[in-house]
Formats: sequence, structure tokens, C-alpha cells
Amino acid sequence: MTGARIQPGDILVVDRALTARHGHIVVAVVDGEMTVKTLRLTDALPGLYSENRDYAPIPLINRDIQIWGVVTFVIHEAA
Amino acid sequence: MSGPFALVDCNNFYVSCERVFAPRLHGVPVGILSNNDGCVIARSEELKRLGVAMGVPAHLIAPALKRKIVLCSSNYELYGDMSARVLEVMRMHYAGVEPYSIDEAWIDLAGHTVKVDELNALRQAIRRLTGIPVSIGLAPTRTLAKLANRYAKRASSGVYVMPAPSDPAHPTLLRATPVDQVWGIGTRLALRLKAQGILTAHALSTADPHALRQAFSVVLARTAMELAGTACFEMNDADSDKHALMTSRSLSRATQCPIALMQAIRQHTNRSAEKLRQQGSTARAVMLTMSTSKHIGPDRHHGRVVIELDHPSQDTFMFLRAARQGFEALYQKGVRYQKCGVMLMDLARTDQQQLSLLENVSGEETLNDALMSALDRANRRFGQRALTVGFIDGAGPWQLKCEHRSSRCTTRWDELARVRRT
Repeated sequence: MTGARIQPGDILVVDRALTARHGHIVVAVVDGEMTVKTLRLTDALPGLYSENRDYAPIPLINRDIQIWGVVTFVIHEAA
Repeated sequence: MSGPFALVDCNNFYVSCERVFAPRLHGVPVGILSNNDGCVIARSEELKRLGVAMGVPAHLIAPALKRKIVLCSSNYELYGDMSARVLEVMRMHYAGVEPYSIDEAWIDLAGHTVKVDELNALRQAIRRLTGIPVSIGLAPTRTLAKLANRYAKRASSGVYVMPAPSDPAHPTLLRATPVDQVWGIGTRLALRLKAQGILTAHALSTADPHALRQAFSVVLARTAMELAGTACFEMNDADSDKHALMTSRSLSRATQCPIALMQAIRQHTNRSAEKLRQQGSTARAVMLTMSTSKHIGPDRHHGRVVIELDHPSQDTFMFLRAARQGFEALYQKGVRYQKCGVMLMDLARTDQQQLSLLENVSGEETLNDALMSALDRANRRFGQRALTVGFIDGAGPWQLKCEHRSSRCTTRWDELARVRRT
């Protein structure tokens, strides 16, 4: 994630047609819940990484994870 | 009507739409309720397996069972939009796409040599781009494609290609298909066919079309020919154009108050008239129905009246005048009404209309035409019922009850799906 800085309340544009690759910000379904994460595939621990370092990465193995779509734009409220 | 035809059918469509934006509903028994949260109108496979029947009133489902299942209010705005998206993906792949219902569409593949791989690719594209799972049946005729679709639903691949009529597998398959599972054959017709010894699709396909035509109808004769492999049906043969438009709804509580009833009628009339103008039609008559709850036994009351208009119209004022007239004819003091409906009848397309000598357009009507289109534009822009003809209380008992409706996340900016950031 190259400084996407997704803030609470931001609007995400999500493209379901794209194939998620390393470094993409994705909307993923983890245990039935939709969440936005960065997909890291080439790291020592491939998984979904949170922008917030307080949250541990979610490894791709042994979890029910689906990629819902790839985030292509982030819209912040200006005022 | 050349064919072959593919029938693309969305699996458990309403439930699938809900699941796209609420993934936690995957694998869970889910039911969708009709307007006013009345009856179960759509079920997930899991709910079917629990034995919850189609059409069962929500309040009759045992509390113990209710705790294990999820019941959603219907979200037609979402379903309609998702349906359009599925069609869009189909049109990206094929030219001859014909919508058939909210969750089904035909593809006329005339001139194509269709490969199963292509249909698989379509199915995967729909799944991926919209999130909706579909089944696809392919066959030389629509009636056979409809059957093929049933088999596609059972196949793990979700695609089923009917064997060619010359293939020995074709009669075997039709022999295994009870006649009441054939497209357009209802329970009553199936019973009559059984009396004649026609029990399977195969028996129907080998019956003499002339005899069928004599004893039953031309439609049944065509169905038989379609089963044998000759395409006869145009898309609109089986169910014709909309000749009437109905808006009706149960009130969330019964009422005998004429003011409240008239407001509900006004709302339905406004809505029907808007739909009418949207599809570019005029109506020549207004039917009003008012009834009590069907659970009150002998005191049950069901009134219905049709008011003819002087000439075809699109004018909400005209319809309201007629509806008011109907209301005065039907309303009985002391009766507690539970449901009312407004139907616009005898529809014709505006572009196919002839003005008779007696039906010349008055000045008032030209003015109302402009008024009506302004009304529709305002409502499209500011939301339904931003402007109505006559007063309608937004909190009355005739307003739609939909306590468990999901977000209309594909059509409303303020109802977008939410994701966790953590």
C-alpha cells in the first residue's frame, strides 16, 4: 500500500474484474465479514496486511478468505 | 425463432443478491419476505432443506426454527439493479440477449456454434463481475432449454447442454421427465394430460400435434413440437405484454378510516400512473379493490369495481378521480379493510394510439401532460413520492413495512456497502 491512507468514512471504488496481485489494496471477505486490506504475496508471510500496524496480518492459509474486489480509487471527503 | 437457445437463470436470485453484500449469509438458511414482511417469497437451498415452504407467512414459522434462519425484507431496488448488471455482462458476451424475468434471460444463439467452454466462461464472468451464481441450459428450442436449465442446476458445472434430438440420450431424458415439469404445463393441465395417458415429456413430444391442438390448445401442440426439437416459440408467446398494471399492498394494520384508506389509494394510484408513463402506455380503465383480512372468516369482505375513463389517459388526476369514484362505490362503514389495490387496465402504447373524433384532446389535458412529466422528473431526481398528486402521510399504516431490508448499496450513495478498515 503506497500511502493510500484510507480514512474512516472514505468511499472506495472497487473493481471486481481485476485479478488481485501483490501490493493491491483489496476488499476481502474474512470469516464472512468485508474488510479492506493490502494483499502481500511475496512477503515471508503471505497475507492480508492492515494499514494500521496495531492489527496483525491475516495469513492466507488456514482461513476462509475470499477476495471480493480490488480497490482502484479512494475518495476522501473534502469538507 | 431459430435457435439454439441458452437460458441463463440466476440461482436463488434474491438470496444471492443479499449475499453479495452480506457474505456472512453464505451457507446460512436465508428467506426473503414479501412486501410488508408477509410471506416467504424466496429461499436459499439451506432454507429449502429445513422444510420451509414457499409462500408460508413469516408469523407461522416456529420460533425455534426462526432463531436458526435469517429472514430479510425484500429489497427490490437492489434486485432490479443486480438483474440489470447480470444482463449487461451477458450482452458483453452475446448479441441475442432477451430478458425474460428478473432472474432469467434467453440468448438466441442462431448462427453460433456454441461450445460449452464459452458458456462456462459466461457463467464465470457473471459470477465474478456481479457476484451472482447462474445456471445455463442450452438446447435447440426454448422449451428444451428450460428443461436443460433444470439439469444445469443439479450439475456441479452449472452448465447443461441438451443432447440433440437425434441422440438416443434425448428420448431417455424426456422419459425421465414428468410432464408437469415441462415449461408452461401447470398442475391442472398435467392432470388432464395424465387422464389421456400422457405422463412424461417424452409422451407429449411423440403425441400427434393436431390431436393436441384439437383436444387442448395450439400452445400445447407447439410445446410438444418444441420438445421434439422444432423451435416454435417466440419469446413473448408464453407470457404476453403487460396489459394491466397493479399496485396493491396490505396495510400494516386494518383500518376503517376513510381518510387513511383514500390516502393509501392515492399512493397506489400515483405509483401505478408513474409506472404507466415510464413504459409509455395509456390506460382506459381503473380497477379498485378493497378487502378485509382473509383470516377473519365469514365477515370477509372483498370489493372490486372498474371505472372506465372517457378515453385513454396517462394523467394521474384522471385516475385519481376514477379511484375516488370507485372508493365511494365500495366503501362500507364499519368494515376494517386490510388491503387495497389500484389496477390500470386496457393499456395501449402511446405511439399506437388513434384519437377518435370524439376524443380530441382538451386544453386541460395538454397542460396535465406537461405537469405529469414534470412530476415524474422531480420524483426521479428527488426520490419516489417527493411530489404526489394529493396528500399522502409518510407514516400511515399503508406505508411499506420493511424492518429487515438490506442497504440499497448499488443505487444509493448514502447506502453504500460498508467494509472494516481494521
